[in-house]
Amino acid sequence: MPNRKIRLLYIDDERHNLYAFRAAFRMDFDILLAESADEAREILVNNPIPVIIADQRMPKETGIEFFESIKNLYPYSMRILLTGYTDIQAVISAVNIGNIYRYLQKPWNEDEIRVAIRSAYEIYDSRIQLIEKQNELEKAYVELDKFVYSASHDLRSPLMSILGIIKLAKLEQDPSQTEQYFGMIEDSVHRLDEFIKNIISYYKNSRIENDITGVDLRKLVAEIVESNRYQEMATGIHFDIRVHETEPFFTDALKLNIIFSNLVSNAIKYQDPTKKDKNVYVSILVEDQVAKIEIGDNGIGIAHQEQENIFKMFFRATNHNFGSGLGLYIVKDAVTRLNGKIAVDSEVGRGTKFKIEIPSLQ
Amino acid sequence: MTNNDIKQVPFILIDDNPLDLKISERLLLYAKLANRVTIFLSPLEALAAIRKAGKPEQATVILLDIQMPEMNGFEFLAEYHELPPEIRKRYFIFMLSSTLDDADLIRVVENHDALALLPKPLDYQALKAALIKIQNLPI
Repeated sequence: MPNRKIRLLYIDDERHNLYAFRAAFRMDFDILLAESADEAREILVNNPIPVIIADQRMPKETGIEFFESIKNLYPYSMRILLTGYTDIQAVISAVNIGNIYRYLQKPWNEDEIRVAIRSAYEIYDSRIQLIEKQNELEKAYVELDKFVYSASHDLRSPLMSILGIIKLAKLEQDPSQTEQYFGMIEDSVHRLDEFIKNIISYYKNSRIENDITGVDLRKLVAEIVESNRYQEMATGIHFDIRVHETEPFFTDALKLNIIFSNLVSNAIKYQDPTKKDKNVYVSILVEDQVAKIEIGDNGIGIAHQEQENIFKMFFRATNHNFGSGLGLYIVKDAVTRLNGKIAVDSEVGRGTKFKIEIPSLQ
Repeated sequence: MTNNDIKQVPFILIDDNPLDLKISERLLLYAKLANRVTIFLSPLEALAAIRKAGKPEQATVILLDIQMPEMNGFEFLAEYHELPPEIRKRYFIFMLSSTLDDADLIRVVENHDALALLPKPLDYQALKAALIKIQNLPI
C-alpha cells in the first residue's frame, strides 16, 4: 500500500449518502464528493483521480451515463458503480457501456467497499506505471535511432578524416611534412574522444538516481571556473561570479556540476574573437527554496531560428566550433532530472544568457 | 602521376570541417584533377558565391558534404536547384560524406542535381573515372 491515502471521488445526488460515505471512509481514503455528474466533471478537470464511485440512480444523468461520458477523457480512472436496486439490466450496461470495474450494492458493506477501492487502485497504479515505462522505452528508442544516425556521422567522420590524412601522408614526397600530418591526426582523435566522453557522461547522468546533498554553490562554481580559465581559449576573458545564498541548498552535486561545466565551457568556446572586452558571468541567487542561476557571455550569440533546437540531441547550431551536439542536450536533461527548468536568451553578435531555476530538493 | 587523359577543372569544396577540406583539397592537387580549388566552410556563402559568379567560364566540379550545421547538403541542393538551368549545366555536383545512412544514399540517388555519393576520404581515382565519363559527354 502506498503511504499516501488513495484519492477517490464519490458522486451521489443524496447529500445524506455523501456524508455517510465520508464519515465511514475518511480515515482510509482521501475523499472528494460531488452531488451531481456535472459537479463531478468539474472536479475531474483539475484532479487526477484514481478511483471514481458513482450512484446509479441520479435524476439528471445515471451513474452509467456519467461513466460513459468520462471514460475516454480519463481512461485510467477506475470506475465503480453503486446502486440500491438489483437491476440486472443496469449491471449489464454498466459493464458493457461504462466499462465499470466493480458493481457494488447499497446499503454498502464497508469492508467490501474498502477492498474494492484498494484493488481498483492497484490496477490503476500498475497501469500508470506501465504507461510511464512505455514512455521511457519510447524515449530510449528515439535516442537509440538518433544514436545510430549520429554514429554514422559523428563517430565515423573523425575516423574518415584520419584515413584521409594517412592517404595524404603516403603520397607526400617531402618528409618534413610528416609533423603536420601527426598534428592533424591528433586533432581528429581529440574530436572523436570528446564525442565519446560526452556520450558516456550523458548515459551515466541519465541512469543514476539523484544523490541529494547540501551543495556549496560558491565553491562549486569557483572550482569549475578555475578549471576552465587557464585553457588557451579563455585567454583575455573577464570572469565575474556572484553568488548570494540566503539559505542552504540541496541537490545532486554531480548533475549540477555537469550543468555548470557545459555552460561555462560553452561561454568560453563561443566567444567573439573580434571583441576586445570578452566576458563570462555566473550569477546565483538562492532564496525561497530555489536557486536562480544565470550564465552569460558577450560572445557570438545564437540565431533566433536556432534557439528552439539547441537542446535537441546531436544538434549543432554553428560551424564556428566542433561541438558534439550533445552538450546542451545533456544540460537540459540534467536540469530536468533536478526538477528545474532552463531557458535561453541570445542575440547574434550580442551574446548568450542561460537562465536556470532549480528547486532545493529537501 | 600522369594525367594526359583528363582535363583539369576548377573545384568548389563545401564542408563545415576545415580538416576535411584541407584533406580533399590536397588530394585533388596531388591527383592533378583540379586547376583551382575554392573552399567554403559555409554552404550559405558557397551559394551566394555561385549565384554571384553567374555562368562559370569553365565547367566546375562541386564536392558537397551532407551533415553541416546551418544548412545540410540536401538543403543546399534544393536552393541550388532554383538557379537557371544554363548555370546549373556548368556544375557537376558530387556528395562527399562519411555517412552510412541508407536514407542519405537514397536521397542522393533521387536528387537530380547530385551525380553520386562519394565516401570520405576522397577516392580521387573513382572521382577521376566519373569525370572522364562526364568529359566525354558533350558539355
